[in-house]
Amino acid sequence: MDNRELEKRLSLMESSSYIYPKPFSKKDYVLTAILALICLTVIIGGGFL
Amino acid sequence: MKNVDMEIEKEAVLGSLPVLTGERLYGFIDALLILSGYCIATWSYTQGAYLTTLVGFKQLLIGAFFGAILMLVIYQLPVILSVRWGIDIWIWLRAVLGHKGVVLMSLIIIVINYPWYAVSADLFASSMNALAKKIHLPALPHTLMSVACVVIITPLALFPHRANYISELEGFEYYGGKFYRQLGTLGTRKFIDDMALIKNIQKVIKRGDIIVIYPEARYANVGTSTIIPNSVGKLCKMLDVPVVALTMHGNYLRSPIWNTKVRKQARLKAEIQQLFTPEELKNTSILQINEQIRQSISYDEYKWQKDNKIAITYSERAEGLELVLYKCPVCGKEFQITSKGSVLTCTGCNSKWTMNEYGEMLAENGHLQFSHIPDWYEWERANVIAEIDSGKYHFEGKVHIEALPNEYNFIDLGNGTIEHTPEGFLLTFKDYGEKEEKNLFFPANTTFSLHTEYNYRNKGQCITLSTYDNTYFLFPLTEGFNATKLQFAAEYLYKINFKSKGKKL
Repeated sequence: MDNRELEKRLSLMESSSYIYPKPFSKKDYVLTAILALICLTVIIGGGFL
Repeated sequence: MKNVDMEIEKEAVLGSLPVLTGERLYGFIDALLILSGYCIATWSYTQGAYLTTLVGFKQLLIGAFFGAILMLVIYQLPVILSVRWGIDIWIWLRAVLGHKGVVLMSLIIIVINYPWYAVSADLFASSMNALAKKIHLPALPHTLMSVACVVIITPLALFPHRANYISELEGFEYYGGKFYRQLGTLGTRKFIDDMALIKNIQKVIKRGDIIVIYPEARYANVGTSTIIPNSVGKLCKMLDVPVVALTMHGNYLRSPIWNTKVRKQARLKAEIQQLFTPEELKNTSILQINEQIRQSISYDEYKWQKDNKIAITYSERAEGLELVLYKCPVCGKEFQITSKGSVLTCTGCNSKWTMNEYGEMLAENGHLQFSHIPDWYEWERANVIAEIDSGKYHFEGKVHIEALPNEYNFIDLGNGTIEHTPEGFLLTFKDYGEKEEKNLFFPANTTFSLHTEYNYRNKGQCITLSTYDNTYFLFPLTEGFNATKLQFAAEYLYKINFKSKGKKL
């Protein structure tokens, strides 16, 4: 049952009509890095409050 | 196949299959809201509570929010990939790291998380401890015994009749007003003229119920009865219903207020007797009513212990006793006595007394002594009376003040000063929300007695002073504050103020 179901799902995912969630773009990675940097800066700055 | 087995197999199979886009129940906003809810419910409360013990408010906000976001944006990056493909993160990791790699990664994550588990376990333990206190487990045995007296012994004595009880407002705050009211409790503040309470008592009697009054309205510091005001007799006469006295022995011995650790050997015994019928009340004067009430509930727990040969073997049985036996009968110095185990020592003259298993104080070096603790206590009272009569009595000191205006919570009012003179108590402090200090005066003829605590909610000794709208809990910040001595002084000053007005106490 699992193999049949797996095959079915993979074929669906391989079809050209299958819509994937949007991938993480370069912009998203940059935003993530900026967010991490902001957090790190605020945390270090917080130590001096 | 059993349902459980089917569910497990279903989970094993379907849990490893990719979830298609159309099958997903939650979108980004749904997941954000639901997970934020979980985070607030768990992380914010637990981490927030923990962080407050370490840092200030600004740093707490930074630590809680920016710290969590920083870790999550890094830690959760692989989740984005597994979510895109609709597969479990561990299955995705298997494709990247292989089976052994995933096992290794699991072990590393468990080890890395251990400090967090330790914090969580610590938080869980402290929460359970707080809950245990709330439901009166042995952490606060004295409270347990107090409640037991109300919810077990008295109802047993009154069965099958129900009763209403009178309690200080602090009890409502501690146990929760809803629970306390369900027990049939009426609230008041200590040592004030509470007309609303009198009306509530009348209402209870009018509907044919029983009212239970604890007329001393205070703890027995050394297991002896204290003075009962004449107003109790007046109240009995006014209510015109049978008066029944219920006296309990062993409660003090089991958990004295100055060291509430339960002494299991102390047995409880309750005696109940009718003192007056309504007809007898009509033909008896208020003074006679009071006299009979005083006699009926007169007790001396240490005498009772000795008479009944109750041996209390608790090795630290004298620890805390110096809070009530604060004056050395040998050198006469105050607040120099310390306690350890079953021994009291005066650091002023090195006199030592050992409290034996029957509650007697035995002098180790043969000095003048009071073997009966209540005798020592009354000797201290006589000394305070002499101090007042000679015009030497005066106390002034810094205190930390917590106010209880309602049944819900205490308000920290910071520090203030308390002065006790023959005229009464003068409390100087900044009230809640006020910038200027104010004085609150409690005249000596209004403080019939003084509520004393010796380790109130693990904060040490304190006294309370009440107005109609507020109760002030005063915790000492300076040397020379002793709740017992202040109580002796307040009781005597009330007495002489009454006599000076030609009234009988």
